[in-house]
Amino acid sequence: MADNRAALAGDRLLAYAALAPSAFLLLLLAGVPTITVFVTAMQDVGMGDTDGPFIGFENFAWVFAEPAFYTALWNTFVWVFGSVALEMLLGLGLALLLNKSFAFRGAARAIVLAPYLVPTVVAVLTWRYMLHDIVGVVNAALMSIGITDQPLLWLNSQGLAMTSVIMVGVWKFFPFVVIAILGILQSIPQEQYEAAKIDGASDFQQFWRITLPYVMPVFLLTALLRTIWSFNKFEIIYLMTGGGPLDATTTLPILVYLKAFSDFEFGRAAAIAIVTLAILCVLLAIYFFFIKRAEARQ
Amino acid sequence: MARTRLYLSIGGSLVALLMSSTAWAQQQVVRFLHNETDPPSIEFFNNAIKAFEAENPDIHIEMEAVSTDGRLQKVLASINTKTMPEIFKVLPEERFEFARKGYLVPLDDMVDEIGRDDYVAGSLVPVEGKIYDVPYTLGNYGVLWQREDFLKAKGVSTPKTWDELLAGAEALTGEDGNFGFLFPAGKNRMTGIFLSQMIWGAGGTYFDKDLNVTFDNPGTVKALTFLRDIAKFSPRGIGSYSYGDMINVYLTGKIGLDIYAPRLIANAAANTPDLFKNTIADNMPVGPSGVAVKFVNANSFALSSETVGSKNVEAARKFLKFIVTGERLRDFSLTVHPHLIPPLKGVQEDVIKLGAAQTLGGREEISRIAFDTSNALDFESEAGAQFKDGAVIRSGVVNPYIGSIVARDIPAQVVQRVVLQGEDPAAAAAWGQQRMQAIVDDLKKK
Repeated sequence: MADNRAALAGDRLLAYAALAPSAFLLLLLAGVPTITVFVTAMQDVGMGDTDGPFIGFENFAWVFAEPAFYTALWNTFVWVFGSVALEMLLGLGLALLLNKSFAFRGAARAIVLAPYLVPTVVAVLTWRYMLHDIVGVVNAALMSIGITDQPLLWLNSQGLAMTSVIMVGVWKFFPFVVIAILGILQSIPQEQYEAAKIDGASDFQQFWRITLPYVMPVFLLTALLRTIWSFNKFEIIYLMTGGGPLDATTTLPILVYLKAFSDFEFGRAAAIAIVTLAILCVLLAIYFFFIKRAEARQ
Repeated sequence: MARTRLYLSIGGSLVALLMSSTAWAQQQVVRFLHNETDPPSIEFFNNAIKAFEAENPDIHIEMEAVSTDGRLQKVLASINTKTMPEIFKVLPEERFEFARKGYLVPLDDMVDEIGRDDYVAGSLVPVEGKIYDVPYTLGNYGVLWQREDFLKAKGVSTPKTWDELLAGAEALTGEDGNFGFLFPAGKNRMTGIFLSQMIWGAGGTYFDKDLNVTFDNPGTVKALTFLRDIAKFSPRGIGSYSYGDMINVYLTGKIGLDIYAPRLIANAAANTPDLFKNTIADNMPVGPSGVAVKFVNANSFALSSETVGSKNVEAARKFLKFIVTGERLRDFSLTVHPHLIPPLKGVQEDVIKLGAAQTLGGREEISRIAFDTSNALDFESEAGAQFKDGAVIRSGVVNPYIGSIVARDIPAQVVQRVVLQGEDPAAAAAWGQQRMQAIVDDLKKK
């Protein structure tokens, strides 16, 4: 018995020793930057300063009193939920379609996945050019078929700018949803559909009773994952509009960037980043809750 | 015998390796960071570095060319880690802060060696009496580009005043899809530059000579009112336009009049020869102040000090002087003629003659208008400027606060409030005044 305990303790020690390098790396790569940002958020750091006077939670107080923060928070939610909702719907629809048998299905799958493979910077700059009011093909096409008689201001109207950004975001990332859902669709046993057909179930009933219950856990997890990723997405919005016109597309990551590299207020930028991290932690908690629930069901 | 030969060759290789590593160890490395990423500029710098290293075998130059955004991040990170490149491109808004914190090396002795009087007036900006950066090119944003064929077809002559500009823009805007005028109204620095030219032309300034914010002056309101009115004759998408759009949209052939930097004509000459032939240049129209005030700023290099990790300052000084003078300055200016204006008067004439012949089909008049940097201001020098008898009189005050205002795009946001949101110009100017005052108060506290 004592031998067993000693062996177990030895195993545990070995396990900790094996984990130590990874834990150290994780601490170095994730922990140190987070702590540094937190420390910066407690200081008044300006352009070219390595650090600044300690001011406690003053920067956080500034964040919660700053109207630009609430505008950015609202814009972030519009961007995240607008783009994720559309990505999920489009992704689910196309995954169902691509799961059917038809000619050139392989080619169709490759085409659908293409936007995900294009580098984001290339894709966004191309879209920016396409949506230009004078030289853009989108406006030229809309005007030539008579939908509008003058160019739409995709990127510089306060009403349309966020729509344009969401549109490009959906185009870029819906293939991820297709990949995730297509994977689970292909694992549904065909016998269940055959049995349902024999019992006289309609297509909709088959979808509702068989497909959806299988797909739902993955669908929800993908939606949560996309929500988290979209929350701190920076490059699409920055390259498309720079956060404008005025602050119509300024989301939290854009506000952090502008505070740091336009206003040179690194302390305040760090405080916004920490608040953003806190919001993301809540989303992560939801994500892990769903993961655990899905695991428990299995 | 063969073994002896093998030992000899191994020994020889080791000696060669030892010698080369000793030579490498003796070489002083100068790191050089800039954002001139045009292929001809890169080619120029590579050639200049090769020539310099041939003359100075004990110095090795390591060049790093990054994007404009990348430069700022690199500079800030390098300061934090005390690994600043010895030579770097410095922006006007960084000059005052960096010099005051001891991050830069004074360059007065180098400027005197080159010849202080040879520099174009206003291109050397002192901080507390010392020069910390040497200009290598000037940017002139105040050239009026016109479609000569459009003007002739509509019977419009070159506008000399704002009223004529407005009337000309209206006449050139038509059913054919053409627009009379082009200006930027995006949330960016270029919009701030354009608005500034208009404010100064209308007799206003952002600050007075005592560095009080005076943005909500009648000149600003006149400028904003003018922009609101002329926006009717500009493309509807100007609300996102920046530097690139001022050229790309002109190159579509749909624009009649455009006030912008000479890079426009360099691009037209290279890419749209017909448009180039039909484009003529002139000075900006005169504003209500009786002066056409151009925005002209210097692009400069600075030497970083040992405080932020610079190691070979003397070697860097030698290389810096090499690239900002003589044939190198001439050759760099010729890479995008007539956009790159050499700040040394002694080099300008050569560049005009060579550049016009090489790039502009001999149209020297375009180069001369592009190189005319008289009656000019920039953000740092505009405080308390006066506009009298058709000329700009500088106060001589260098403004340490305006960089923070421009970096926050407040002038551009004022334009957007008027042009995109339809806000009253006086109300938008008052909003700008309030924001600027808050920033200045904050900076003064520090």
